[in-house]
Amino acid sequence: MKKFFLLFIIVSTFSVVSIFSQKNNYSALLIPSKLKENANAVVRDNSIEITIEDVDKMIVYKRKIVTVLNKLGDRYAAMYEGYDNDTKITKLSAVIYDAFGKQIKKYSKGKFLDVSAVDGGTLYSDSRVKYIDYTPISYPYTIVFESEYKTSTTGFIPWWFPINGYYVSVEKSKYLLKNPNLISWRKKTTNFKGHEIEVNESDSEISYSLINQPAYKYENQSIPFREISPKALVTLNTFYLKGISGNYTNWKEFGKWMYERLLKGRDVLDESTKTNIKELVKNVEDPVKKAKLVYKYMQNKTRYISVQVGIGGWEPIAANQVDKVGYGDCKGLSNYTKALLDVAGVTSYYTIVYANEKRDIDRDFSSIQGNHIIINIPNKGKDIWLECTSQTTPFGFLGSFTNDRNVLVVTPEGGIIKRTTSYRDEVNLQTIKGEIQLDVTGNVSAKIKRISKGLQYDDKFYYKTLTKDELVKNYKSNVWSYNNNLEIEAYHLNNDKENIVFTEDLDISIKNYASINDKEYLFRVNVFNKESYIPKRYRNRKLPLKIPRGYKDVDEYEFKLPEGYVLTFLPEEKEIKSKFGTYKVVFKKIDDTSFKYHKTITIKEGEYPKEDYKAYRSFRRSIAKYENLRIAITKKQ
Amino acid sequence: MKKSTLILLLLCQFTLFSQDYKFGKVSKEELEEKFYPLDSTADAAYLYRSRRTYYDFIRQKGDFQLITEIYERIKIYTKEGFEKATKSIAFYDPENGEQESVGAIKGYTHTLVNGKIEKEKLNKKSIFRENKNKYTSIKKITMPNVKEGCVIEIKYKLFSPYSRSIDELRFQYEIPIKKLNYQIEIPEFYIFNKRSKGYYFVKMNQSSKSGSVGSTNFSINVFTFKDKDIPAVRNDEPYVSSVYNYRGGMKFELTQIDFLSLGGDLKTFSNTWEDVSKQIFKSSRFGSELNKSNYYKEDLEKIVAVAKTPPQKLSAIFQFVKSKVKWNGYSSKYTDKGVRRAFKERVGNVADINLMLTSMLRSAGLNANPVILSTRSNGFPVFPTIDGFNYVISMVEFDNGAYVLLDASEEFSLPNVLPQRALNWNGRKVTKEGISSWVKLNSSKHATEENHVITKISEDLIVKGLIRTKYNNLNALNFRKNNNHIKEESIISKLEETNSYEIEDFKVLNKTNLAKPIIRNIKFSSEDLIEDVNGKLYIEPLLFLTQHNNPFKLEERKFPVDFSAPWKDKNIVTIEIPKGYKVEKIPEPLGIGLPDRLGLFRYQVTQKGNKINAMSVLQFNTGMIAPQYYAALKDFYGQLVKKESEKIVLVKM
Repeated sequence: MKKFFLLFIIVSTFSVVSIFSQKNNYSALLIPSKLKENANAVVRDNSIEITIEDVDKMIVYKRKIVTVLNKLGDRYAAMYEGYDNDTKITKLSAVIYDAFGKQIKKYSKGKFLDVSAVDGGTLYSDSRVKYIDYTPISYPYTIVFESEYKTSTTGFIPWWFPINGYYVSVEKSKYLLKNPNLISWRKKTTNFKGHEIEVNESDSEISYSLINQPAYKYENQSIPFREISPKALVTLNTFYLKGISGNYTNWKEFGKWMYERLLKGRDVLDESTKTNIKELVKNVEDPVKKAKLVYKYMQNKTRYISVQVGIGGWEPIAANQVDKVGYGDCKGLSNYTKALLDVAGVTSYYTIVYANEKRDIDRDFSSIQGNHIIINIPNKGKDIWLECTSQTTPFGFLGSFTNDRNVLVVTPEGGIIKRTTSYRDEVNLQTIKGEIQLDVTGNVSAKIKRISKGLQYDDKFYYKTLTKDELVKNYKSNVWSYNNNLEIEAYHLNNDKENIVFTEDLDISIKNYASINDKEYLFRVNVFNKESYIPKRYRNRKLPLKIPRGYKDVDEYEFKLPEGYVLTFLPEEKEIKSKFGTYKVVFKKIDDTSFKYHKTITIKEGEYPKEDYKAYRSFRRSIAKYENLRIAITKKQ
Repeated sequence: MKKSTLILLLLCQFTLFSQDYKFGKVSKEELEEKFYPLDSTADAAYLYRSRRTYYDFIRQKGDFQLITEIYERIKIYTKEGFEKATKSIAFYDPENGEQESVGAIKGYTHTLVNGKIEKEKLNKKSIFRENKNKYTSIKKITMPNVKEGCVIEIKYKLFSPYSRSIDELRFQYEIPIKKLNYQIEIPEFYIFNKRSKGYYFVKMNQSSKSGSVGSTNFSINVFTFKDKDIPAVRNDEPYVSSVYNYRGGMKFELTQIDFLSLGGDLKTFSNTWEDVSKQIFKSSRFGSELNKSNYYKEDLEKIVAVAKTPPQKLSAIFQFVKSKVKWNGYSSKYTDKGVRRAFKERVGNVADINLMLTSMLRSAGLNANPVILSTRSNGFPVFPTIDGFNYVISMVEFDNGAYVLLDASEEFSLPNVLPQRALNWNGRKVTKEGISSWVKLNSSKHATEENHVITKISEDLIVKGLIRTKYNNLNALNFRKNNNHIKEESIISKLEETNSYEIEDFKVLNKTNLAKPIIRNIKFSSEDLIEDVNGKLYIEPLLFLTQHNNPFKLEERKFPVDFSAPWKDKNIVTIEIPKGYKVEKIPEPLGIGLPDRLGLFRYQVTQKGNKINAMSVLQFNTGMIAPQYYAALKDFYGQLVKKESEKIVLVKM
């Protein structure tokens, strides 16, 4: 009887499922277990259908079915669509199903919330978004989200990124692009290999579909996700962007279009400003020196404010406008700087870049790319790059925001791909020299000089803008949080913008630094630069190792022992070498009551196969251990 | 000679005081000032901030509207102060219903160029209106030509048809105010309660003047607030629930509208805690929601068929509501969709959920009442205003006088273990009759953490062992909230990242069995816990449980340290020493306390054969430590850190 009952349940569950599956398979029970592994959400069926009706008419239809397995998966079920003055949402709906595929909630277009899509850094933008704020009542649940919009901007054809990050698997994702009028186009696909993707391409249609893709797991110290995940890029050779037409098939033509349609004529300045600039560089011959003066002039005059309206998202505010109000966004400020440099007789170019996360402008695929603008000064093959949105960055310094990546330089003759300055390994140098006096109660008083260059300069030059309280708090709570009772007795900071060197002269005291008992006096020798970083352990590392930034630190301390104590023993020299870098500590006895500690660590930037991760971890671990090294001194007999 | 200097000085001072702040005209001195004299760390300062709020009769509507005029003169000292040159003014702008508006926006930026004052006018094109959402719009302004040292001026008017609600007066900001001048003018028909908040007070002066609408004359009460050199209150200290609680200000709450003299009505509003509570109780989105019961009738019958005793009923109903209705993240004392719809849709705000809970408990025969309260981010309920409360929970009292507090909006809460957001001093119980009284919210139950560690040091100096951790009360709630939805593997790597051990086995018990404490068992091994200096071994007795950092690093503190609940951490560590070694030294015991029994620390390390036992207890008997104890607290922690870092020394036999 019991057996039968159980059987009945199973049968009935199946039959319910099969009834549903005729219409739609939204039950979470149907997800193959392979797709649930490491997944917080499963994309059940995602499809984008793009119809290019004309060079200024595109319809984009999207349908997304996602099953969310747990709280962390909620973000993959975000239901929103953006719009603005030339993009109109024509369809919008969402339905929520429970674990068994039963409908629990339905939203029609009117039920979506409508808000402005202005991010923190922007003062005003005319983009808006319609979205749903759904509170899950149980997991798993499934959403079916549908939207369609019409736009006259065809400069951006949605690209295909079928895997939306880590911890999400994909049962099916499809991309369909219809081009019935055979408007000429270009496409590029990346990382299709290794993924189950079906490709169908013809003159009038492209379709890609990915099936049964298990979730990727995030791992520390690895390459960016976009270098692993498949993507398809498509662009039209003739297009419209907010009412402006264009056509290009390569970067040269793209750059020319951009120059002609978006930049030309926006560099006009008032006569009085021109006179000012000419006066400023009057007796200067060297173009670099001229550029320095102009850059400083611009930095003192402007600040960053972003306003994006209509074509303003793409076209800079006119230079004379920036001149009048004293603010602008990256486009406006860069264009303004270029206009000033023109007046000073220095050739410079508007340059498109991906800022922040290191990312190249795709050398082989010309299309609208990038998210930031900087200025390029050719300078006889030794390019100078200017960041125009900061009032404090030194002339010619990019920092980690835009360094070492491919950018598009827009010249009147067309676009050129160039690479920005890179800051490698030893260039990012920090040295600390210090005299450290220990006293009988275990206190430390030290005078140190810390000098930072390269990207280590980039990390610290903002200290100069901190108030005293903030600066002291930063030293106590961040820089030297491992030293309790640390006090900054005096400080002097010097930001040498000319040579791009940041120097900190500090008088520091640390109470109760040493541990003292009747026999011994123990203290950690690495007082001011303890590197305790140990990469996380992975039992089964899957992704390659990437050390995103190399550096070199040199520490040299001279210790003076407290009254009544003598040096009995100094540790041996220690050296750890690996392909990731080197670590070396040397002690040198000066006399019975003083000695020197000298440490050098060099870490090399680079990409290594996943098998190397373990070795890197053990390298860092050995270093971290040695960084805690303490020595004992004894009372004079 | 001397005399004339004095006179000159006096004259200067006189002009400084009597300086009238005429819009569009700033002085050279103001532009030349390099830093704020009383606080050189200020990036900007209000040289002058004025506000005038008054009533204006609109004939077509036959009603008053409220007009607030703001005038700000801001000095910008540094580049970091540039953000003060951009301003957002939010106003109520619903799709349906009466709208507020912001108008008459004017602005100037004044700069000093070669010793000459230049001014640049705010262009209308630099003013944007953003329709933020269904209810709110924002006017956004950014000033032109901003440079270090410049002075900007902005003025605007806010028009509101909501004449019954006057925005709070704010006396303190994140930048200092050199001179403040506020004036609130209220026709005699409106009576408001005026209550100060925060740690800074500005004296109020009252006078009156006459007003008229057509042939009707009436008097207007004028309240003025004048002050100078008001310090900034910045948001940069740890353990603060909301800096807003500490900034000085004054709130206005309407108590009465009296148009009897004109043949109209008299209406009274809250002015005591009793009134406020009653008024909330009377709202259709509060009191009457408690009386609805049809929607849960069937479910309740099923519950009481099984649960017989009052405690059983309580826990079964609490459990039922928690699993039935999920919190949508919104706090409110009033229901949003109403209990019925929330029940049906299985989603609701705090009031939807907890009023439903209260009603069900009552229907099951328990003595249950709602308790209205203010969340930590909403500030303390120090004076009776309706806005002062923004949350509601449920309370059940038993015949023996015992009571429990319940919050079903938090999945992992327990009877008498409320989520952190609700732990804010006192709440107000409201009975069926609308009678109210205070209830203490902060639990007397300590949030506890207990660690038992048993380890053995092998001859190759690897430390292996077991850790059994027990979390109770608020600690258990927070553990479940932060960890229950996270994969075990991520928890393990997080632990390995922050501790110097590797985990070989890991298990958490009672994740969803809320009645029991969280128990976490870890099997670990570590190569990094022993330090070998010249052949001697040094070990911290508490191993990875050692507290190395004093969390209190700043010299002084003006506000309380807010732990949100009393707490107690206890550690017991047993270490078996490696063969061939003997103990040379172990740390001395220590027992210290804070004044007024606020907290204590006990520490002891003992040896028994080849085993060392270390025990530490750190206990705070209150969730909130007043600023006068800060120095003692900092020192207390300093001693604790020093003691715990003392090492056991082992030598070879």
